[in-house]
Parts: sequence; structure tokens; C-alpha cells
Amino acid sequence: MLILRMALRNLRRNLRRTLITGLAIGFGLALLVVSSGIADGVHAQMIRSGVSAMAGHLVVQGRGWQEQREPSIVVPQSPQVRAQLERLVPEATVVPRVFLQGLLTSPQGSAGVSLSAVVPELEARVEDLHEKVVEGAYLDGNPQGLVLGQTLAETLAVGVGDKVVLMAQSKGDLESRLLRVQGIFKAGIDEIDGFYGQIPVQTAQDLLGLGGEVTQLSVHLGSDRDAGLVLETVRAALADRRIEVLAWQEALPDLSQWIALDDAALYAFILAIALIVVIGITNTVSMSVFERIHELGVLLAVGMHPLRLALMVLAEALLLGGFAVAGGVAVGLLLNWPLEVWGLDYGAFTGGGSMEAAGVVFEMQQYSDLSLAKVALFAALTLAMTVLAAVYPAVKAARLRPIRCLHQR
Amino acid sequence: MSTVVVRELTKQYRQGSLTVPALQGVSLQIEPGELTALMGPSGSGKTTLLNIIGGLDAPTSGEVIVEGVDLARASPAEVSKLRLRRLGFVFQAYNLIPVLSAYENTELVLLLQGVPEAERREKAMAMLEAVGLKGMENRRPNELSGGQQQRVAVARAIAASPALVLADEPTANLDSKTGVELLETMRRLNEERGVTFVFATHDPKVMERARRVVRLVDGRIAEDLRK
Ligand SMILES: Nc1ncnc2c1ncn2[C@@H]1O[C@H](COP(=O)(O)OP(=O)(O)O)[C@@H](O)[C@H]1O
Ligand SMILES: [Mg+2]
Repeated sequence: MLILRMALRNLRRNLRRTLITGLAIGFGLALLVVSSGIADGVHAQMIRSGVSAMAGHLVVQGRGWQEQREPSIVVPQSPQVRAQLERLVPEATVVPRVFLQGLLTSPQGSAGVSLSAVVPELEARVEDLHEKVVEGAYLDGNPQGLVLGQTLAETLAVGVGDKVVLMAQSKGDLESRLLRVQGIFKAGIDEIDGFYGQIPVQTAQDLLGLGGEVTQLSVHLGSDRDAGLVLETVRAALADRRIEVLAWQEALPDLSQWIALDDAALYAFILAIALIVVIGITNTVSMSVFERIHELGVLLAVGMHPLRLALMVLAEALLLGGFAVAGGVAVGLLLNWPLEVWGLDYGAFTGGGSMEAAGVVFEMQQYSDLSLAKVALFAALTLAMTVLAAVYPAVKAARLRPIRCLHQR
Repeated sequence: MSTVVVRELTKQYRQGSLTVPALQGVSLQIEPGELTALMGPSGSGKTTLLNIIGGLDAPTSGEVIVEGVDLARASPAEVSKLRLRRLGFVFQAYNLIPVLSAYENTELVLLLQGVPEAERREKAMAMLEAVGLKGMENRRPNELSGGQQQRVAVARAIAASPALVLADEPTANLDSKTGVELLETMRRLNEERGVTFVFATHDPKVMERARRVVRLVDGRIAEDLRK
């Protein structure tokens, strides 16, 4: 392969320039691999903790609840729908929930509360509130049980074992129930610690007179990958006017937008790297064509086909890009590995404490969740860009008139 | 068939509003097996004539037929093919591809012609030996002297047995003794293998080695001597 041999040697001829360009491209790609891994990891965690607690990969709700948030809007024939979902998506966890607003009153005071009424065993499987319990325990079978945020407990001046009264609107009437504090959690987010709690689902159904019906049936999958397909299936199977089937992005638009925005930042980063590649390669290859005008003239004069000359120039770019991409991917994977295994401690940057985005806890310890498909895509894009950037110098080389080149030296 | 037939060739270069006459009615015939020296002072049109014969430049008027191909009528692809298949080129200097070894430079034309590896090797090695560079096959151009580089260029030009080798002042950058040696090499190849050479020079010592001397003055043939 004359072309490859010459291309390789031409790259070696100006090793310094080749290395600088190659390193720039490789480093950019490595950075892209690592940031993509971290970004996907953060998003996965946010989806796990935020999306799982408030929704699921998809949710089935009574039509209108999404807009009106009215506790009386329920999934009609919830137990049947739940069974149907479990049959449709056997690998998923189907979690029933009732959402309600109410007032908690203790001997010392009262405070508004936003409650999720849940099936504790199922809830513990799909979200992590039970891990945030700092006093007492998470809900068990006890119908009087209540877990609530630490700040809320302080406002009410209650501890584990204390009694509180929950009051809520039920079809116009005010109903109340006696509850007992079973656990106190600390999520690190004001809105959650100060205004949120969970009770068993039957207690809420009883209080609101819902019978066996629930506000939401959320479907939790093992991975995000099949979410689209499952959504289609469920939508088709539950074509009922009184039911709405939403993707989590529709159920939690704020969080979805935040993640999209964060992804957009990554795309800007990709664009910057693309620019480095295009400028770097165009410059390197153009320079090397320009320096070799006389030589290219000789090749054309003795009968090398212009197309072959162009291919040689492209081969130079392809080799340079190939090495840079291989190196960049290798370094990126190498840097990503500890981030996947041990994670990255954001607390070291922020000085500890939790952060929050779109109402969801942003964990301090973040793990990379690198998708190899994305790495392959980035590598292919970089390589494609490399070749694209060399097209102009290659065409220029092919258009050279040998007689003019031979004068230059 | 004559290797080259040139009739009433003129060439004018435009330089802004000025037209520079480089060739003003040149007619010339070159027969197979000839070794022709193109003499003349600097600016007399030697390079221009060689470039036109080699299909690297187009004349303003006149006819050029090389190996039976009328260059004015041929397509660029045909001219390109003629160069690759039937012509050899040796330029004044910097003939070689710096990243290729002496051997690789020599086999370049054969490779572009698609000659198979074994045949290529045999021919290129024989050529390097014929120009006296046996044992230097693996050297890069920058590891060779100017005279050795020009001999590699000659080896490359004749490796594919072209009908005609065009050499534009191949000895200009060499000292007189090395220049004469290169010419001796070309003359030997001409005698032993019947390679047809046309080379431009203004070195009288070099000229003495030629069997035919065509003298150009101001773009016209002033003298055409066969010894
Ligand atoms: N590319 C060019 N543009 C303008 N004038 C040229 C060009 N090439 C050659 N000439 C002119 O044409 C004439 C012949 O040049 P050339 O063929 O190079 O002569 P020689 O090779 O005998 O020195 C000279 O007057 C030279 O200045
Ligand atoms: Mg000249």
C-alpha cells in the first residue's frame, strides 16, 4: 500500500506537529468520554432517586390528575389495571401510590404536609427514602405508621413513637386519622425534609374513601433502554378514556427539562471538541500539503493519478485521526474506570452538603455510567470529522498543476 | 515512427499586460534511440520545450505528437497516461520523494503502473545497479549525495522502459565531474538499452557527450548538429 506507507511516513516526518494535533484530538475525546460518563451517571442517579420517588419509567394515572392534582382523580379499577400491567411487563416493578396534601397536628403545633401513600415493600425496591431514615425505622405493615422529614418533625416537636393527627379533604368533607411517627428521615433537601412524608397506602385509601383505587401506578424497569418500547405497549393496551399513560419526562417536566439542559451543555462541549478536530486537522494537513508542493508536483508529473494523491492526503488525516481516537478512547476509558468503581466526591468541591436540581437530590458521591455505544459514537464522529476536515486540502492537492509545483521549492 | 514530432511550436507567457515569447516557431523530430542535448543560454526556452513535449504544459500554437499521440487532441487523462506509460522525467533537482528510500523511489513509477511486486523488485534493483547505486537501496534521499540522488532519478525514469526520457538540466546542481559521470551513465543506458533521451543543459562538457545537439536561441532553433 504505497498510499498508506507514504502517509505514515509523512506523519512521522513532522512528528512534533503530528503529536501536538493528535494529542489535542485525543485529549478532547478522552475528556468527552469522561464527562459523558459522569453526566449519564448523574442523570441516572437523579432519575433513580427523583423519578423513582415521584414517578417511574412511566406512570398510569387517572385522566386529568397530571393537571388538577385532585385526590379524587384515580386510576379506575386500579387492582385490575395493576394486574394487567404486571402481565404486560413481567420484568417491571409496578408500584401503586396515592398522593395527598394535608395538615399534621401534634400537641405542640401543626404544619402542612405533602404525603405519598405507598406499599412499603414495593417502595423500598424502587426508591431510596428508606435508606435516609435517621431515627426509628421505615414503614412496615402498621396502618398507623408515618415517616416524615427531620425538619417537619422538629416543627411539630415530635419524635419516634409520638402521635400526630392527619387531616385531609375528602370529597368536600374534612377527615382525620391518628398516626404514629415510625421513622424520621433526612434527605438533605429542604422541600423534602420540611414538607414531605409517607404513610401506608390503605390508610390514605380509607381516609379519602378511595376503596382499592390509587392515584398512580408507576412502572419501574431495570434499565432505561426499553422505556420507549414499554411505553408504546402499555399505551396500546390501556386505551381507556379515563386513564392517562405518561413517560416520566411528561410526568416530571421540570426534572426532564433540567436533564435536557445539562445534556445541552455536553453537546456544546462536543461542538468545541469538533472545532478542535476540524481546525487541528485542516491546519496540519494543509500545512503538510503546502510544504510538499514540489514533491506532489513530481508525483503528478511522473504519472500519479490526482485521485490517488487526494487519497494519500486523506489517508494522512485518517491515520492521524485513527491514532488520536484510539489513544483518546483508551485514556478516556482508563480515566472513567475509577469513576465508575469508586465514584467522584462532589463534596470535595462544594465543601459538603447536598445539592438539589429541579426538586431532586443531587448526591455528593457520583458514579460514572458510561455507555459504550456513546463512546463508539464519539469515536466515529471524531474520525468522520477528521476525514471531513482533510477533504479540502485533499481536493486542493488533486487540483495542483504539476508544472506550477515544480517551480516551487 | 518518430518518438517526437514538433511542428511550428510557439509559446507565449502572459505576465500582466506583457507577453513573453518563450518559443517562436520550433520544429523538431526525435527518432527512437537518439540522445539529444538541448543547448542554449538561460531563458532560451529549453524548459518550456521539454515541458510541452512532456505534456506538462500546453503550447500557444503548433503541433506536438509524442509516441503517436497528438497532445492537442488528447484528453488530460490520456496525456496523464502517456506520461505514466511512455515517458520518464528527470528534473533539475529534488526529484525524489524524501520519505521513500532509493529503492522505493526507483520502483515508484512501476508501482503506479501496477507492475507486480516481484517484477518491480527485479527491475528496480537492476536499474539501481545500472546507475551504480548497488548497496544504497535503503538510503533515504537525504542520505545520498546530489549526484547519487540524480542517479536515482534517472533509475526511476528508465525503470519502466519508457519510450522517451526528458531531463531538464539534470546536472545543473552537480559539480562538473559528477555531472559528466551522470551523463556517462545516461549515454551508457542509451547505448546498451536504446533508451531515447532528450536533456537540456548549458554545460559544454556535458554537451560533448551527446550525439545530437540542438541549440536554442530566443525560442528558435539556431543549430541542429548530429555527430
Ligand atoms: N511561468 C512563466 N511565466 C512567465 N514567463 C516564463 C515562465 N516560464 C518561462 N518564462 C519565460 O520564458 C522564457 C523561456 O524560459 P525557459 O523555457 O525557462 O528557458 P530556459 O529553460 O532555457 O532557461 C524566458 O524568457 C522566461 O522568462
Ligand atoms: Mg530551464
